[in-house]
Amino acid sequence: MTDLSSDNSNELYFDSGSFRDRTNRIINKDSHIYRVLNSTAEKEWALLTSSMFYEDLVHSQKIVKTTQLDISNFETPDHDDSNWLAILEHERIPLISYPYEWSFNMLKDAALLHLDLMKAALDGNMILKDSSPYNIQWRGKQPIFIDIPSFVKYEQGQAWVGYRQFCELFLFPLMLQAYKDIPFQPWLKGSLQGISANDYANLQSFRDLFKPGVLLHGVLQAKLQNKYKNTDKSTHSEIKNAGFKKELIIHNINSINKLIQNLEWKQSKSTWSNYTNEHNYSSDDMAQKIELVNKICSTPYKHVWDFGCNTGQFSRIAAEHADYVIAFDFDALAIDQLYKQLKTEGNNKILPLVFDLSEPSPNTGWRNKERKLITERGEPELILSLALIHHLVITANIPLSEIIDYFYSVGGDLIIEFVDRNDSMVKRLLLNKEDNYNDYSIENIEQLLLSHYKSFDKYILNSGNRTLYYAKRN
Amino acid sequence: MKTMKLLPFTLLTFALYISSISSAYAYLDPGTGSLLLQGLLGGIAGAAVFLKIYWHKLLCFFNRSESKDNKTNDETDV
Repeated sequence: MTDLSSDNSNELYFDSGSFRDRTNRIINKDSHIYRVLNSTAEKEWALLTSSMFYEDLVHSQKIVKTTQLDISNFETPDHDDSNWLAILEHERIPLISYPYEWSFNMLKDAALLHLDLMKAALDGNMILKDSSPYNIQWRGKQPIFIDIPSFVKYEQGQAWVGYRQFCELFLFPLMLQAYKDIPFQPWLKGSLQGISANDYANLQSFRDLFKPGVLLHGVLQAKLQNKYKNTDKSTHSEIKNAGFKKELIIHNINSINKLIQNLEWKQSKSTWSNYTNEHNYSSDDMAQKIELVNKICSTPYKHVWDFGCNTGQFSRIAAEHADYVIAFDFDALAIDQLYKQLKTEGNNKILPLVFDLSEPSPNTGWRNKERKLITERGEPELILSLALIHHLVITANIPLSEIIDYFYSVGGDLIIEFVDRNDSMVKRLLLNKEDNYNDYSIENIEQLLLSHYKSFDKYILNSGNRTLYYAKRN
Repeated sequence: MKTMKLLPFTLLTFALYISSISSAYAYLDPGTGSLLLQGLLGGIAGAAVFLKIYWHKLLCFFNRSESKDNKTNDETDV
């Protein structure tokens, strides 16, 4: 019998981000992802698995592969008075990520997947009961829906309950980026509920009203929400009595689908491709660096995190040997370019994420436990930090000792590049600043690496301005 | 093309007009406006649903006014 409580004490081990839907809960146990279902969710699950569309969606990897296990073989956590009748096991996603870590085209593809699933479900007389992008995760460039109990029976006359949430967490963030070039990531990081229709409408100018979707989904929705915020009548029954039917939802979904298909982030569409070449490497240094990283990565390391990946040149080298690489960069445009390239190539081994190391994704949501730090979601065997730390020390004013300490706490071994003050980029960063970064020295980084890691190898690149360290924990 | 661009404005004006004739309700339901909007977003068939809801509201409004008048008359009779 498998005990689903945590190993220490009787503390519940339900996932701290899974509680809003009372019909089911996620349990993490020994790298397995289980989901317990109550009688309502069990019935919906039975309906889903008997539907024609379910197998197609699993087969096309649009929804997570799920197996039902015998619940009598499990002990649910103590102090849990819910009556769980069934247990499922989901295939594990390599790393959980959040919409505020996705680039424009990632959120766009997640939105299109959600609409796709809605259509498939409605055709099978089911519907998705919510529209949270947190229900979508990534296997490399492939978005995959993980919240199986979201599929519920469609009752005749029922409207699309998740429409408002879809607008707040998918449509408005995308329109904001596409129409106004305002990044949605900081907003979603600060507001897990997304962008309200009212906030969205308040940002619109008269000219914006002519852009597809703004008037109906944004302004009119905000007006109607304000108008009816004090209603005491069930709109559900009113709509049903007026003859609402699922064809109306399908019509709405089709038009939103078209609207989102046509949304483009202009910068991402037009910018390319000298991005990587903007760096001031001598080609000799670059070749040497590629060779070194390739050699070290062939060790091989299974899980690699590339901080400051830019457009992912070294993430790709790591991915040639590793099982999975997370490519982090604070630059949403670079991440968007990388995502689009990975999509074109069909590469599923790299997950690109928008991530600013100087203000990383926080523990947030209910009790600050609903959405978690990146370090609580995974652990690398190797960290790449190439052409990055001069930006953190000089631009973001973070002491070098903090940076090395952070990398060590994240886990794994480390490849770190030190760029000295003769480098033109370092000169540029210091141009309008007083150079009081005494800690930014080759002596200090070596001392810090030795005080944290067991040993390091040192490689001075041919230009003499750049040094690569390969620090090993064991 | 111009007509197409003007369509949302016509719908908006219409929606604002009919929303202005509804009675005051009490208690919070943040999804109500979004649910009602789905009538309009459902195309022609949806617009019919939307209209029907508001037609019903309109009738209720007049019925209520009428019954109020009747009541006043009754009271006067007494």
